[in-house]
Amino acid sequence: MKQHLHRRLVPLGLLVLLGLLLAASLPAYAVLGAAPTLLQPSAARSKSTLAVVPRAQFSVQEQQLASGTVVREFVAPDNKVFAVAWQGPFMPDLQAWLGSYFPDYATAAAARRSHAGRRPLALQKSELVVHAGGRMRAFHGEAYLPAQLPPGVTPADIR
Amino acid sequence: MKCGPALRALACALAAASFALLTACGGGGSDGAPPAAPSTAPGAAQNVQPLVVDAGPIGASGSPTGGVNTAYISVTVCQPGSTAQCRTVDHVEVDTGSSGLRLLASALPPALALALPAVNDANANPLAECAQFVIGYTWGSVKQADIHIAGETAAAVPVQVIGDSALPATPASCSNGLAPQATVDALGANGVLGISVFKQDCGQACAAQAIVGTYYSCPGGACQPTAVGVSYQVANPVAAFAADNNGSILALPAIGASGAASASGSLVFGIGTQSNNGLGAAHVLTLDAASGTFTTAFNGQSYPYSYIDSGSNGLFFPDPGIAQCSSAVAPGFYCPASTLSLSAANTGPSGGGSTVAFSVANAEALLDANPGFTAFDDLAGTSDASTGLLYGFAWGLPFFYGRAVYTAIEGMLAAGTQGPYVAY
Repeated sequence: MKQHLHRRLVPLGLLVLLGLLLAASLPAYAVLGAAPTLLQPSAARSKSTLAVVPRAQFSVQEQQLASGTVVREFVAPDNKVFAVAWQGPFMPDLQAWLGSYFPDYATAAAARRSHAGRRPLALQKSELVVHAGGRMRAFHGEAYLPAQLPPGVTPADIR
Repeated sequence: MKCGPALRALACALAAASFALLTACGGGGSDGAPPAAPSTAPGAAQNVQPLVVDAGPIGASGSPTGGVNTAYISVTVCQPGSTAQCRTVDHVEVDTGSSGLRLLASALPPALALALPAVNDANANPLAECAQFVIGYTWGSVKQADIHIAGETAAAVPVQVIGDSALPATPASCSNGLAPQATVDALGANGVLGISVFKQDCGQACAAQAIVGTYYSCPGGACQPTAVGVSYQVANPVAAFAADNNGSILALPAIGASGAASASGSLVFGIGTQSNNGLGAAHVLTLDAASGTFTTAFNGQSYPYSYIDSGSNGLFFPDPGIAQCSSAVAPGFYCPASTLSLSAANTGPSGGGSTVAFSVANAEALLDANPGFTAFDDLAGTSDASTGLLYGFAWGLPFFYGRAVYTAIEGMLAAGTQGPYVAY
């Protein structure tokens, strides 16, 4: 009996591990043009914080990633993210944050002959605007979808 | 740094001229012992290394690769303890905005690359590193090397060997959609000499936890982010010098409004340690200890993440009132109808501010009218941002012309003031 119980403990442990892995694989980030970051139990997002600030025409979710970088998501009334912005010591994982818009960004970044000598990136397309700047330990940037700004909202309102 | 196709054409036109410059500053590097220090005062190391702003090293196509406003220096690396297994690498970009020496594997003789000992993680796996810049990244192995510049030596310092073929492919979390900077053409240099206010490129953050896009361990060919103690991180060579290790001074001559074909300056090591590196009347700006930034007030706005960075090739700040260049010649740069005279005020967290006057020329007109020039003090562009996060004013290389810019390293006393600070 004891032995049987002991043998059952192993799969139970695996289940717990699997649960943790599943939690970790949930969409941890907002994706530009899609739903914002899910509010998750603090255990699954150790060392990150999340704050929601409602505004008249949209809401802003701000979180500090484990790396220390702060990311803001600008969420339209239809619950889609129309802008993200970041500031902090490390670049965020842009593939995760920009979602389906990431290839556009990557193409623009690669099209420039990029050198260690750096200048900010300014991508200005009708469907996507990206500004990225900074240097080691102090990066900043923003990406937004001009066509998906809520009615009456201009880029200058994104703050 | 590139501004676009026109600059590439400009680079081609420059090939002949820059060959002379390359030859003058060492050509493709040389094997052998580090250069002997010229005789100087007893006990004082020779602490001045010449630097040049020119068209950069020749790339695979036979054309110079550097673009405009890139400052280069020659650096000698050796197998630790050796005076025979060495290489002097020319056209290493001087970057006050990052820390650590990064050299292209292709710039090192294979025998030397092999002789540099690997820096291992806690499980005895060789460390790999990703260094993310704004528009590109370097991926390479972490190796130990002796670094000789002027008469100074940093012994057995972790450096990054970019594009080390022994490493697995770049992890997606490193590239982050950015362009690899693993060739002379992509990097516009044979390496990067990072001499910022920080002692390591990452510091305590990477020692406390594994951070995506920084250090990796690659057992069995699969690379995973890993935490790395600060003494194993790629290190600022200046802080590792035996002497003159509290900072550096990057000095470039003043140039005219229409630029110059090239500019010759100097990198002086130490601040207040010898007769040639006193602070004098320079304005001291203390910095935020975490980010190395200060506050710039410009146009009624405050930019608290501002920085002085020889690795940026222009002045970058948001100003919706200045027209941006319309063509692909200089995307993101400013093209006002006529040259603007502007000013901004810099203030450190503990005061010590100063007002800086600067000019913004029409970048397209400037580049078109001065083919072959590589040094411009009035090149500026946007870092436009409309979101509420507070950004920075980037004082790139144009700021350095006509100035001596001091970079005092964190935790070090430099001419009576504790680093980190910048002064000019």
